[in-house]
Amino acid sequence: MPGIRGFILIWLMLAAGLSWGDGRPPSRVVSINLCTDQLLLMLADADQIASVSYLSLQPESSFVAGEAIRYPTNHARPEELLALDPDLILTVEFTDRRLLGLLDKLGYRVARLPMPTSISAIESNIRQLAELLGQPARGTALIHKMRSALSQIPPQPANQRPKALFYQPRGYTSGSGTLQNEALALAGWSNLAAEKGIHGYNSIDLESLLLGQPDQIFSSTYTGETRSLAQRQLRHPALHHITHNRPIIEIPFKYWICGGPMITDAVAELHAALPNKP
Amino acid sequence: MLGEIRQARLLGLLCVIAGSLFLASLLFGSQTIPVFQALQETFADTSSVLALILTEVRLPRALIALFAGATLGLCGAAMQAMLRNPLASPGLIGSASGAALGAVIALYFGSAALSQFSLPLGGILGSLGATLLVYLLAGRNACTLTLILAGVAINSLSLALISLLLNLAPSPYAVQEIVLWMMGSLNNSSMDNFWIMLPGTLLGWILLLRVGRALDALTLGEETAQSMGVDLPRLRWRIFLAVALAVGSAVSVTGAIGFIGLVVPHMLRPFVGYQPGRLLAASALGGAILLLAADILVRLLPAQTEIKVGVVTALVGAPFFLYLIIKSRRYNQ
Amino acid sequence: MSLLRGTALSLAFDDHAILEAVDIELKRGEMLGLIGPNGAGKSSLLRCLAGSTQTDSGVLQLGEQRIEDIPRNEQARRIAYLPQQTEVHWPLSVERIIELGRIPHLEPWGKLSERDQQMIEQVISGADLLPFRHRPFNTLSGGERARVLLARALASEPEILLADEPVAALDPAHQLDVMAMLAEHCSRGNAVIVVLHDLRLAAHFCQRLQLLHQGRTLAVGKPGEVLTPDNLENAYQIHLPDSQSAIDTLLNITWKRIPK
Repeated sequence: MPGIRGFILIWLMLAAGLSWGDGRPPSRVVSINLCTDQLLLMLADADQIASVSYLSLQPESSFVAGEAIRYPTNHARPEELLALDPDLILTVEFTDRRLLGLLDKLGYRVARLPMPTSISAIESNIRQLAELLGQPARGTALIHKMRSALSQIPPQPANQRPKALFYQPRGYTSGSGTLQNEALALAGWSNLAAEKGIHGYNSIDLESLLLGQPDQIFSSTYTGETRSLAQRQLRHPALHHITHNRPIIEIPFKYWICGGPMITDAVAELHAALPNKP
Repeated sequence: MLGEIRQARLLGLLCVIAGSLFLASLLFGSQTIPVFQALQETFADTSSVLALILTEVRLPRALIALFAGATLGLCGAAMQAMLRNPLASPGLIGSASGAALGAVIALYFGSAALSQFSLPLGGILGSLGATLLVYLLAGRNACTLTLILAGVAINSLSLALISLLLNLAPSPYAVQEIVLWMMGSLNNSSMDNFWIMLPGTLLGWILLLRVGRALDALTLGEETAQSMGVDLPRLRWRIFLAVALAVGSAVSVTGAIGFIGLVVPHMLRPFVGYQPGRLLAASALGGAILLLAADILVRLLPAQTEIKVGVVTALVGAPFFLYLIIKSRRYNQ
Repeated sequence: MSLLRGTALSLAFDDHAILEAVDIELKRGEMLGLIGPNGAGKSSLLRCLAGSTQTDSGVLQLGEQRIEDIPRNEQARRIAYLPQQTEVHWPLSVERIIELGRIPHLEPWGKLSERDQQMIEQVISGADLLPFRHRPFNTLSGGERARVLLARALASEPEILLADEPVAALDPAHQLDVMAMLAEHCSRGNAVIVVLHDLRLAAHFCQRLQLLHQGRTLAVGKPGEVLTPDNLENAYQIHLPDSQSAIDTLLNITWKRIPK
C-alpha cells in the first residue's frame, strides 16, 4: 500500500513542521529522563508515547517499569533521538547542556520540568505536563487522587510530633526545602534536620544528630546489596542506642528519586512508622 | 642540640602527654557538651545522650587514634632500625598502601556474609604482600635510593589499583571514598571499628616486644649483629609480620594515614640517644600523640565537611620530610 | 687444648672455591695472624669462624663441642667478631656503642648489671676513650673509631676475638694502639685471630701466622717459619732483593708508642 505509506510520510512531515503551537497535542513524545518517563506514562495516551528512557525499566527506581516495557527505550543519545523523530522531548531541569544545545540547534521542541521540592511543585509539574500533552483532565484527576490519598492520613497535633530525620550513607540528611521534609511533616513527624537549621540535602554531624535525640531514623538508599564505608556509617551503634534500638527504617528511594504522585505512598509509609499510633 | 633523656623519664613524659591528649579528645567534639555531666551520666546510666556521645562517638575515636598512631610510630621505628634507613616507614615502603588495597578488596568486593574480621585480614595480607614486594625489589642491603624507588613503585601501583577497584566497585559511594583510603580518617569511628582492629594490632605489638636488643645490635651492621647472637632471618620475618599485622589492621579501619611512621621516630631519636631499641616504646607513644593531636585539630578547624586527619599529618610531615632530605644532602657534601 | 679448631673447612660460591680444606687452630693466650694477598680467603675464613657464613663442609669446634651444638647466645658470649668495615648506622655515643658489646650477656628485658657497668668502664679506660665517652660516633676520627669498635668487641669479654683488618687505614701510632689492645686481650688468657696486611705488625705481635693463598693454607707456624722468601714470593708474587736480610729486619724491628 504505497499510497497510505506516502500519506503517512507527508503527514509526519507536516506534523513536524506545524506542531509548534498549533494546538494539536503532540503525538510522538520522547522522554529521556526517568522523572518525565513516569509522569508521561501516567498522563499520556499510549499512542502519544514514542519512547521512554531505559531507566524506567528498572523496578528498583521506577514506578512504571510494568508499563514502560511496552515502549521503545532510549539512552538519551542524539542518534537515537533523531531516529525517533519526536515532536516533543521531555526531560528535567538538569540535563546535559551539550545535548540540549544540540537538540535546540536541530529545531526540536524540548520541555524541561523543574525538580520539585514540595508537593505543590509536584502538582504544578503534573498540571504543566498534562497541558503540554493535551490531557488537562487527566492532570486534574491525578492531582485530585494525590490530595485525597494525603487527606486519608490523620494530621498529628504539633505538640505530639515525634522527632525523626533521614540519615543517608556518608551522613547526609534532608533539611528544610526538600520533599522528605514535607513528607515527614505530612506523616506526623517533626524533621530534626530542619530544626537544626539544615537546608536542602546536606551532611549532619553525628554528635549533633545524637544531641537532637531523634525517636526514629529513616534512610533511603539506592545501593542494594553493596558495601562501602559510607553505608557502613549507618550501622554505627550510637544510631541504634539513641532511638532505643528502633531499627533504621528504609523508605524506598524510588519515592523521591523523582517528585511525583508516589510521594503519597512514602507519606503513608512514614506515617505507619509513627510510634504509638492512635 | 637536644640531648638524651633517661628512658623512664622520657616514657613518663610521653605517657602524660598522650594521656592528656586522649582526655582532650574526649572533651572536644564537633558539638560542645558538658563533659563532666557526661562522665557522671556514663557511670550512672549509659542510655543518656551525653553518655552515648562520650562512649560511642568520642571514645572509639580516641581509642582508634591512640592505637593506630602508636602502631604507625612503633612500626616506623622498627622498620627504620631493621633496614638501618631513616626513610623506611610504613607509608613509604608500601605497607600502608598495600594494607589499604587489601582492605578495599575485602570491604567492597567481599561478600557481606564474611565475618567483619575479613576487613583487617585483607589489610594484613595486603600490607604483608606490598612490604615483601618492596623488600624483594630493593634487595637485602638496599641503599636509601633503591628502597625509596621500590616503595614509590609499589605505592603507586597500590594506589592505582585502589582507584581502579573503587571505580569498579558495585557501591555508588565507592568512588567518593578513594580519598578516605588514601588520606585516612577517624571520622564517625565506632567501637565496632576499634574491636576489629584490636587483635591484629596487639599481636603485632607483642611480636615487637622483644626485638629491641636485636635492633640495637643491628646498629653495627648485619654481620656484627649476627655475631652478637641475632638470628637475622627470624628477626626480619618477625618484623615484617608484626608490621603487617599491626599496620594492616589499623589501616583497614583508618585508611592510610601518612608520615607518622616517618616523622615520629626522627623527632624522638635524639632523646633516646639514637638507640633503636629504646626508640620503639618512645616512638609508639609519639605516634599516638601525633595522631591524637592531629585528630583534635581537624575537629576544631572550622570546615563545612570534616578535614581528613591524614591531611593534617601530611601537612606536618611533608615539610619535615623535605627538611630530612636537605639535611641528608648537607651530610653528604 | 685448643680453644677453637677448624678442620677441612671448605666454602664455594657458585662453583668458585673460596676456601679449600683449610685447617685452623687457636690456643689460649695466643694471637694468630691471618695473612695473605687480597682474595686469599682470609675474611671468608674469619666469617666462617664467626658463624655469619656457613661452610659447605668441615668441622668447627669450640673447645670440645661442635659449634652447631652450642646455643647462639653462648657462641656470641664466647666469640666476638669485628668485621672489616663496620658502619655505625645511627650517631650513637661512644659509651652506647660499647654497651652494645654486653648484649650477649643480657636477658631480653634485663638492664645492665653492676658487672656489665664495670666491664664497660674497664674497656673505655683501657681503650683510652674516657674523653670521648659522650661524643657521637660520627664525630670521631678514624683512629678513635677503630678503638671504639674494638672496645665494643672486647666489652663482651670474648675468649676468642676475630678481628678483620682492625688497623686498616690507621696511621702507625694508631695501629700500635690497636695491636696493643689485642695483645692485652690475649695476655688475659683469651685468644685473637687477626687479619693483617702489614707484615711488620704481624711479625711483631703474633705468636703464630697462617698464610693463606687461593683458599688454601700455604704455611702456618712461627713468624720466622712462615715469612720465608719462598712463601712470600709464592703468595704475594713479589720479589725481595736480598730477601732474607730484609725479612730478618722485619722480624726484629721493635716499635714503641711514645707514651702520651
